[in-house]
Amino acid sequence: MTRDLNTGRGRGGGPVLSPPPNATAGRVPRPAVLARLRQAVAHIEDAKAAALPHRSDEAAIRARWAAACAPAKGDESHGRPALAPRLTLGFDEIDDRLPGEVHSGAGVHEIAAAAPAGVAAASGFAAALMARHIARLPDADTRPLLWCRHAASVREHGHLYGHGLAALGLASERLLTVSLTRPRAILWTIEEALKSTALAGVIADMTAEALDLTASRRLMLAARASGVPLLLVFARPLAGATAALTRWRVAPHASGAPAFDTGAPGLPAWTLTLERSRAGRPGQWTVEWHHATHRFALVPALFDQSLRLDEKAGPRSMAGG
Amino acid sequence: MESGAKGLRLTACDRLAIARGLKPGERLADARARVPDLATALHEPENDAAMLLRLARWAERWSPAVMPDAPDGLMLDATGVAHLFGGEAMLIADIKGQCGRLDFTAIAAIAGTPPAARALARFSRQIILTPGNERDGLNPLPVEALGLDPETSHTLGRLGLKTIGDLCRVPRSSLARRFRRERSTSVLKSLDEALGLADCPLDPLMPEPALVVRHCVMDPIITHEGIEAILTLLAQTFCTRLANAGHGALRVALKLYRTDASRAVVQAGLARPSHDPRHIVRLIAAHLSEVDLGFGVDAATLEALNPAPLDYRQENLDGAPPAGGIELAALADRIANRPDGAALASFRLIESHLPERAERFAPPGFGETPQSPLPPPERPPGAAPARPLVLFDRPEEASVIAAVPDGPPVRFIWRRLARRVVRAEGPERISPEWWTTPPGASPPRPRDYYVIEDAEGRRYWLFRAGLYGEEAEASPRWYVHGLFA
Repeated sequence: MTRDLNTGRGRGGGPVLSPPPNATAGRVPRPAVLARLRQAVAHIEDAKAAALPHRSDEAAIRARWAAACAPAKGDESHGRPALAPRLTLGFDEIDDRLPGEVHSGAGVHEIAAAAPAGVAAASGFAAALMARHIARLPDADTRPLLWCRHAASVREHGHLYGHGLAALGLASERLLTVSLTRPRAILWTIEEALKSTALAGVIADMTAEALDLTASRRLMLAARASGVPLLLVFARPLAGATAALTRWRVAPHASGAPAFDTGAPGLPAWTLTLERSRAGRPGQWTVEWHHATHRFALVPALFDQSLRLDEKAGPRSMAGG
Repeated sequence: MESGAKGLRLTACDRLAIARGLKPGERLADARARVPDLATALHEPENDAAMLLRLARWAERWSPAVMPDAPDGLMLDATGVAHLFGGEAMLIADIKGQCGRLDFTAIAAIAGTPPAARALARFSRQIILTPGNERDGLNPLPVEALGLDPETSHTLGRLGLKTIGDLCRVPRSSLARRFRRERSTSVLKSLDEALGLADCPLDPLMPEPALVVRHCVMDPIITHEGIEAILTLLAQTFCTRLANAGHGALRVALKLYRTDASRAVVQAGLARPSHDPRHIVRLIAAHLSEVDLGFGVDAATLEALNPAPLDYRQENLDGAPPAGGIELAALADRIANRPDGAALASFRLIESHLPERAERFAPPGFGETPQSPLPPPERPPGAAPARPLVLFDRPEEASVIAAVPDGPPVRFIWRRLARRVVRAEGPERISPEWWTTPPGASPPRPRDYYVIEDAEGRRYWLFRAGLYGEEAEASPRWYVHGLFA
């Protein structure tokens, strides 16, 4: 039933099966419909978002305001699919500081590598976020993803490897890629991709020089209108102001050893710095990515030091909420 | 004028020169003697040919099948075209008017066969010869009108066969006997072609498109917005006709005919047959801004070069978001039709042990069910991913220090930076695929792959090509093949 409510909302161009045949609008009392609708919304969003009314008044008001501001008009007029669920990492320490908007998944998120040599970590974090986003979409939504590569970045940092993406939990058969030589062409392609309803999300390599405030506003509006997330991957930390919802700085972090071999690398681990978060708070954490469950997990502060007591802890091993 | 074997001669004269008694073929010295103020220019056959080709392209505004008829003629296939201009007489009037505006003196004629039309235009005042009346119409014309080579015409003339009518009255067998074999065939063949007894197909510049819609305007359009409006009009008719035929266009071309007898073409390719006017307009309009409209455009055609049957498919019944069929194809078209266009690619995983062969980029299968993915290798819980996120096109060589020859690296230098290895997993030995090695070539070396993590937390995929202890081979080399997230 929730599926019907969810997918039937605002979809044009095909037979819409909601409401279910056994519950036509004439017979069901209004509160029952509302209750079902709430249930469907809760299903779409998260347990977190469902608990919104119980949060502090300010947060609830903010969330309601944001939901009202979200371009819901697109739902009816253009047959857009449902807006992306809220961006979360799967645990409260970070999620509380992320934008509280219900549909904060639909928007621009900037992911910058702490150093150019760590672009793979930034790309990996973007892939993980997108894998998590995809896993939370309804099953019927089989739209593909687009990853716009910058040709210079492909030459310098290598091309995406389908088996590796699959190992991170991002099904490579759902991913499309295009390699473009000029950042302006990437901006154009992103905007076209967001205007089309064919994609469930877009990741793109971007340079700070190409993305000025105007361009980022355009992308933000396009992402909002289409209801899908746009993750921009930068090779170096960003300084200027943009219209993005969040800005992350990602550095690789020593991984925890798997149980079978203490000398082997473990799950991908990153030090995440949330530099900007619209209506949220910045912070720094060290997280691990569990690709099988599509969840991030916080790495305890002394995690790597306890395993390698003999080694000097690097400056990046600082962690915590 | 042009310089011949006997000095400079006149090649062509304009109307004024002819009025003063000059004619082509005269010597320049004689002409100068009679007309001292004669203005001359050197004959440039290449430029003439280029201009003729340009005119031929421009003449596609009247008919899609146009053939330049060197040195100074154009052949248009007017079959099924004349009614668009209000009849054959109006078509000729239009052609003459348009050419006259450009200061060309056009003489045009319509006949059932190309040689008959050519003969009429060049040797007769009659402009329209209805099919079936070729014999009557051509009989009074001189034999030169058949387009024979001058020598043959001259011979025919000396035999007293001055008109085509004369030629028709001679028995065919005697014509064949009279001349040398190949020449007689050429005479008979030309005659038959002119009279419609033998087929004489045109060889048009462009392959005839399957569907053409055209639009002409009274005043030339000089703004891109105006062109876009015409394009929208054209696309609507175009797509209705495609849809009625159950077809979609795979390649469309918008041809803009400028008033100065030149033409601009904008083409767009589509990934899937489509008859969506909005999509086609969008693809072409993206290029319109680069088109130079010159002094204005007064006619436009929209052509489908290779339409294909549409594959009607229901996306889904339950109103779920579409699986990216039509919408995705439309997006792919827009990306690919940019000037610096790049193609969308999807990942195809292939069953191969060699990492660089285990994957291929392929065009996306719009809305088709994707191939069943290969099962990822089983990994113990908590282990690093088995394959890297990014792979280098060419493995990059690294200099490595290993504790034991067969063991994992302890320290390595890659991209001029020394990196200390903290964790390592491996080796995963990948043997070369002997069945893909061409016979006779030395087989590639087996590789031992290691997942490496350095002191900074960066994770690499290194491999050693070759094994230690094999005397015949060079010492093993190390490469960085990819990076983990």
